[in-house]
Amino acid sequence: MMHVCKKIKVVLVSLLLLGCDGEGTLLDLYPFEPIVNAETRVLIQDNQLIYARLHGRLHIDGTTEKGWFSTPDNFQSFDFEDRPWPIAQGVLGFADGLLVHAIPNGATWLLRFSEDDGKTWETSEGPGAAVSLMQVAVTANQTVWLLGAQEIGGNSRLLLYRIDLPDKRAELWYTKDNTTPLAIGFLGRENGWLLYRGQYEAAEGVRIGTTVDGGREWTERSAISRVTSPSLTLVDANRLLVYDRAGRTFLSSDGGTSFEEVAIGTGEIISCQSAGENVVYALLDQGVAKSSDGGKSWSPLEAGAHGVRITGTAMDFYNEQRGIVYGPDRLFFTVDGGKSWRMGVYPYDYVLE
Amino acid sequence: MIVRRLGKKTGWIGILLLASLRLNAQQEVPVYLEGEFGVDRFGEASIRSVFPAGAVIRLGAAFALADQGRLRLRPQGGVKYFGNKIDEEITEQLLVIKAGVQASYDVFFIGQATFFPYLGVDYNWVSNFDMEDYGEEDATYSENYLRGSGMSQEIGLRVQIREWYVKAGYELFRPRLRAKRSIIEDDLAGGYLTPSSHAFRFNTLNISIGFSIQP
Repeated sequence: MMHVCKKIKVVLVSLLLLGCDGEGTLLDLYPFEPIVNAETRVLIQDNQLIYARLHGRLHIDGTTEKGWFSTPDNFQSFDFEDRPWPIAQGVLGFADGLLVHAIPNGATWLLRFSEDDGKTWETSEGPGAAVSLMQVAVTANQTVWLLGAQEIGGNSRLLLYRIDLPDKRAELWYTKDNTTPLAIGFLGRENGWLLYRGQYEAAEGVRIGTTVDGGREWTERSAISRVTSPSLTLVDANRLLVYDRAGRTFLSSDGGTSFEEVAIGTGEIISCQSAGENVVYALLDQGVAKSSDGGKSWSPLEAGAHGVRITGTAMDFYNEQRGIVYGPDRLFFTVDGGKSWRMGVYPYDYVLE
Repeated sequence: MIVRRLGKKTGWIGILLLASLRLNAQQEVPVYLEGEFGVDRFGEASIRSVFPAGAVIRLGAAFALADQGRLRLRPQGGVKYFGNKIDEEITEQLLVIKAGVQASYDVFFIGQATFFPYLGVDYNWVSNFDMEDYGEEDATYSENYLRGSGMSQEIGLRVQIREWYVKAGYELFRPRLRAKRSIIEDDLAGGYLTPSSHAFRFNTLNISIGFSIQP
């Protein structure tokens, strides 16, 4: 009986299916849309993002290894111009619409300047190749500082160059013998902070020097122990953050005279950026943290977009609310102070096909 | 699982019909047992390309009411089935279970042929799944990829000769179907945003043959 029922069922189904071979499936007609523009593959396939800057609401300009890009609408549309990045080596610094790239070039350093986020460049000659450049710092009024070191007969010498934009000539501005340079930061042309270490001092400490005369004279203000390769972020004239990749962070609220240790979060700190009077963002290896009191207390942000954690190698905040985080193959942006994030570029399979 | 649910729904429809007939017998209102079988074809080309044609079965009890029994009201239930053979073993299926009411009116006749324009309203449960049949054992059914429900309206004409009739109608049906959660999650992981539901235009043209008997 069961056998007969089965046969009847098979016959009925076969009759119903007669001539019913369709194309595709109903699910194929269900709508879906790609999260990122697949055309952005030109930015990350056999290529990588090097620098990006948020100009306004959704306008982002930047450079990749192979060219310059500009998008007015978070990569829904964008321009890309082939313009190969000269070489991967070198030191990059940017602020106030000025991008400065120092690259070794034979016997000297070649300095490249761009005021349009990498679309066009002007060049000038920098320090000699014997100088090891550590950092290019661009201040708000487009003054450029080069921090470097030179080894002469066992003497490690700190060198600071200043470049004024009109003539683009690197002028040796300050030197200090038996000193290892670590980081530098300026607010305006006159007030600056310098992180350095004595040549024979332990690698876990850092000294903080300040200048009020545009870098001609530096005064040691304080020292911090237990920091290995520190970076410096200036919040304002009184507040500065000194941190290393391991996550140890110190905040000064008196211009560098004293420091207190603060906790940003777990994991490595990639960079910090002041985005307003009291708002500071920290890009971590596993997310983003935010401080709303000038760096004293920090909260990790629920930083994710469409199930992807926000990660990158650099960030750029246009103001307290709007900013981007990017890496070689990705770019995210927020317009609400990090509460929510959207994707501009991401290496999904359909992008890299 | 899906077949069991289908059985439950059609079972309830059968019980309601029998109850209607018994009630009618007590009240002595003329009632006809009606059943029909037909073919359906989607109006939307994109959906028609997936399911070129389908089958429909309906059963109902028609009450002859006003105007000397010329107005007929028929509570009804039915099933629509569309198949799309993906390969030798797998067939995509679209199943629509229907329950509603149909009103028809005996407007005129020519010879033995009586003409009934009709209007119908149904509530529909839609499910879309795969059937795998390797011939050796019972077929297996996947979970629903898409499912949902909604109201449909049908308008048409029925021509009846004695107990047999032919009818042609057009059904307006725009159900909102929800995608299976894992599909949405897989799409998201792949970089696609998929809405949780979507309204499909399932309008169909159907032609059926049927019977109408007084028990």
